[in-house]
Amino acid sequence: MPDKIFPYGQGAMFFLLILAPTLFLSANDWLHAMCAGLLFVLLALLWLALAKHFQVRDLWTWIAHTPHALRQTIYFVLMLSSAGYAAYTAWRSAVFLSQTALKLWNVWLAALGLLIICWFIAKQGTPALFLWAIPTTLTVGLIALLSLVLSFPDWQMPDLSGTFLFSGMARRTLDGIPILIAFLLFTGFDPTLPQGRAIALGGTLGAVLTGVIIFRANAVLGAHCARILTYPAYAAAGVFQVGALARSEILFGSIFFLCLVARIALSIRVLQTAYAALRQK
Amino acid sequence: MKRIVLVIVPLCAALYTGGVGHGAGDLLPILSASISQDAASTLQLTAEGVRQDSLEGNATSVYLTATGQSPDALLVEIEQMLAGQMYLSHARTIVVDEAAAREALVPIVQTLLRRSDVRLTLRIAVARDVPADSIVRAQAVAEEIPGAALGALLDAHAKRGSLPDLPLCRIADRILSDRDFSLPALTLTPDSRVIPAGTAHFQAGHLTHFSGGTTDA
Repeated sequence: MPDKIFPYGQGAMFFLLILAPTLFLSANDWLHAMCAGLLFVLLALLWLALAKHFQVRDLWTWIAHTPHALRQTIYFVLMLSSAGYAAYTAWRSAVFLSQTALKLWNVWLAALGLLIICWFIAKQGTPALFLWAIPTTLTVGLIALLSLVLSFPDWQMPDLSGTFLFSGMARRTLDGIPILIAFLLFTGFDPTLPQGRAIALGGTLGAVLTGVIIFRANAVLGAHCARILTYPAYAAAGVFQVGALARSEILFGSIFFLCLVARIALSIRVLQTAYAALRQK
Repeated sequence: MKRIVLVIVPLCAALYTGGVGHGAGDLLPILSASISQDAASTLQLTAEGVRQDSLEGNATSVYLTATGQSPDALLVEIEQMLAGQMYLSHARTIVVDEAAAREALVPIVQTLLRRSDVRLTLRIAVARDVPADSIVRAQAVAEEIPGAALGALLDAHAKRGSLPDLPLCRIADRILSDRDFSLPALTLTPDSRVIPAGTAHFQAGHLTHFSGGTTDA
């Protein structure tokens, strides 16, 4: 019987997945990232409409009804691609940690540690993983909003010329396709639990917040300075001080780390689900 | 449960041993620094570090001096003096003399931006009519640590609008976009206290003139 995933969990997970790459994006990608995120929302809604038309409960169920050879191939491809994506995201996250806070940690060991932690998170099962996303989203969203509000007095409007390029949007879209597919695997048509509204809300908020956070880097640091920094969104979060809180970028970086954990855990869940399905006769 | 322990414990041990290196006691926090340039284009760095030998004792300033042909060489030489590592995350102010402001501000900014521990809110001021290191070494009035007092002085004046409010990130942005900018100028009173001395104006990253303060240059 397919897992029961509540729509709020799906919306929350979608929010985390779209927000996750914000840490790594360059300062002139704010509009590209926002548009790509909104495009993902549209694609998700399109998929839900198709799922409703064809009465597809979720993609796993649909895959299970394909011919044996095709089914095995799909599972195998999903396993390989999700394992690779999880490893790549874990490695990038470990590199970020080693370049900012934990300079002496071995990057590969840190990535391996992250993968192990996410493996155990994903092992709790798909419903638990998506439920975990709800309080995580609230924490991430509130801290991100607080950071934006507190830094607002330091904003200066940057030069917006040349902000949007189709090549930039294409790049951001292609970067996000793998995790979008991983997410859509766990969505479909459920007459008792409509998913469209929650997914649309979570995805839209994630896309808008991504764009605003990267735009903030330009507004606070200056567009030219922001472009030469490796992690402009992270750097911009540390430019203000409130009372005794002087290293606010650490708090900010940690919430993005949670988003990256969500990405890695979801990818691993795809791997675990595909493996379990592959082993069934 | 046993499998979790068998995996996580060695991993934590590996991460710990891989991370053993600098404890908090090995790092020397730098609160302020000065950079001056002599006639032979040799740079001299004076860095104010803060040390506290016991939990009950007061924090005191220690001054380290290094010379080199480039800002990178200055920082390398300072770190070679220390058994641990120089920690620039607490640095609030860098004072440059007029010669360094005229010729070396851009490489100084580039060197600072390359370091991940330098805060982008760090301020740069120009010493006017006095050596830059005398500003950094000057006794504080309200604070015990001169570097903290200097940083507080610049922040307060920037907030009031009496001195330019341009942290490191904004200086870099101006330089990269080929725009003119201004930095605070500082000098010393007859009894060696730091006071604002107008504004230092920059064009294409080079000091051109001062304005405000006691005299215009």
